[in-house]
Amino acid sequence: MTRFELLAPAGDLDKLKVALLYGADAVFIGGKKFSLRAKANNFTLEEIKMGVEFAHNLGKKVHVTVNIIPNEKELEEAKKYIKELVKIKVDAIIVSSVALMEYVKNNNLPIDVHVSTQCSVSNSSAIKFYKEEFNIKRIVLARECSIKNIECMKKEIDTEIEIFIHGGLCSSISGRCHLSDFYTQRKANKGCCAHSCRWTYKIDDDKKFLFGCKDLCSISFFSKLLDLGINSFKIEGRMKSIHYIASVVRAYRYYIDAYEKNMLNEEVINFCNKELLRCESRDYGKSFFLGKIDKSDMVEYEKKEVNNEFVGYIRVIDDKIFLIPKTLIFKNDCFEMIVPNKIDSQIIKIEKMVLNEEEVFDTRHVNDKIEIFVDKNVCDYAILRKIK
Amino acid sequence: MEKVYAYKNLFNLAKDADAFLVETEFSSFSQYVIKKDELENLISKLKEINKKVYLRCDRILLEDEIIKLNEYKEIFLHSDGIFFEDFAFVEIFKNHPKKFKLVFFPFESFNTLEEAKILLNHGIDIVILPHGNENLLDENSNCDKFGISCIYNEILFMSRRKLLSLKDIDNNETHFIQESTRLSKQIIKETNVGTLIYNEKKEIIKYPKNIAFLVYDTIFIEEN
Repeated sequence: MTRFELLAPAGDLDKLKVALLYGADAVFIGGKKFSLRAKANNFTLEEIKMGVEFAHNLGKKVHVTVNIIPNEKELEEAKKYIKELVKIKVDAIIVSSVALMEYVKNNNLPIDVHVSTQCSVSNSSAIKFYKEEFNIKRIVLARECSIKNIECMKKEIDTEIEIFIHGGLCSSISGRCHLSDFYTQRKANKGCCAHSCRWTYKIDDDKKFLFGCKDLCSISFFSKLLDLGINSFKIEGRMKSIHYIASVVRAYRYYIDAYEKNMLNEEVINFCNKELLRCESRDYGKSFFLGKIDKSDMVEYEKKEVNNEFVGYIRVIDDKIFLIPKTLIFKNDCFEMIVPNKIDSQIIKIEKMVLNEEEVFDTRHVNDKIEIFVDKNVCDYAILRKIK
Repeated sequence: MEKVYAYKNLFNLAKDADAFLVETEFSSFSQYVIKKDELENLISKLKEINKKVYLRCDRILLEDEIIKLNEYKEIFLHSDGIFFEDFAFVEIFKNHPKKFKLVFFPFESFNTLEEAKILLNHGIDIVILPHGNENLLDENSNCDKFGISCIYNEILFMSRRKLLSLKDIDNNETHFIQESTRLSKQIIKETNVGTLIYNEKKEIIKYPKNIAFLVYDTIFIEEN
């Protein structure tokens, strides 16, 4: 592992494996309860255990989000849940409740505690408070911090720092938004955010008013963040596709590796930019990193055309090759294939497809498991996308 | 029970107030900010008429604001305490005099009494319950370290982004926004810190009478 942790999201076990195989040093996942992405598939305890074993075999880590703001009943359940996470050797929990921080500390539980970005920690004094009072290992900084602020902060503290470098953003200060609850009775702080800041509003009865943010992409200033010696760089998106996770992780992995080998150059940055533009996302902005927000960070359109480059991924099971399609694919179609640990992609042709022991000439249903025969060597979790 | 009213000006002081909550440079979304040089004077004036003075410092602070806060530290210690949300205040004022109160005044940091009590063991003197959590306390609760807001605007959204300016909308005016498929309208206001979206006044009538602090948070409410 490098001195920088690249931390990727994983909404299910396949995504966890993809994130780690494509270069993440650690993943963050949510259980069926207590995490802020209630709409993601999320993990049972058994799946978390499998994920931890898979990660640890690769020398990598699993962080579990337990960051809802609990009520009395949930709080007691969350404590029991944390005990279970300790048993299955989860590396860290991400929490926002001081009761859970205190619980881990008072019981000397062998698990690292990371303070969630929901706590909006954005200065060195608050970091010292959490460290001294609750013995926390790491702070996930608020997304309002600029590079300059983080630089000043780092001089004052010795606590581990994690920041978001890529993905969706709240327009509000994290944890300070009740719009979803107000409009839909879906509480954001319970993991049910309806993303009301991305809806269309009217202001003063007539004018259209959009106040959602563009997604964060920090590639254009990422070297400055690496220069600061931040411990962990986090990609947002537990609800995103396998293609998104693989592409974003491999781009930032490539960048970090080049930086560490002192080989960062225009070619690397251009590759990363191109890769990130091929992922399904909103338009990109820089959030608060460079100081003030400007107009270019705010969304201007109600809907963006959906990026439909991702066509499916490969599973290799008992020497057979299976395609998990995400769209309609025909026999003899050719696609671009990306694989773990390689930057160059290849063109692959699907020569034959078999479903239920019968040859088929197209994919019928998304997520079917279709045996395929191809003209190239493939590996487990290779990603197929349209040729560009 | 101390009745704490949002301070607006010296000519319009609520008669039954025991204390006033004065806006500062570190308020969440400053409306009536008292500048540093006026603050000490105001604290003295309110004390002369036997009113306590608490300072509203409920903003989540960035590192450069922490540096600025240190310039205010001495003046702040002349007041009776600080209403804050950022735990940086506990760290910065950790050796404060006993008569100076650190009052936790959160947006929604917790929904349980257990968490409120934990905070009282970590350098916080009084906890104001987040809106919607008033029922955590009943008449039998030991309430001498707790408070509630009995009048307030329901804050729905708080951002560091200046959303009106970013959209070329006059940021000096109060505007109303309306989700395009709904009838209700909410107030949107931009300040020098960011943007708030909130609803009209809300009142809590039922609360334990032995509560320590009762806050009349009328900062955005126009009085007749």
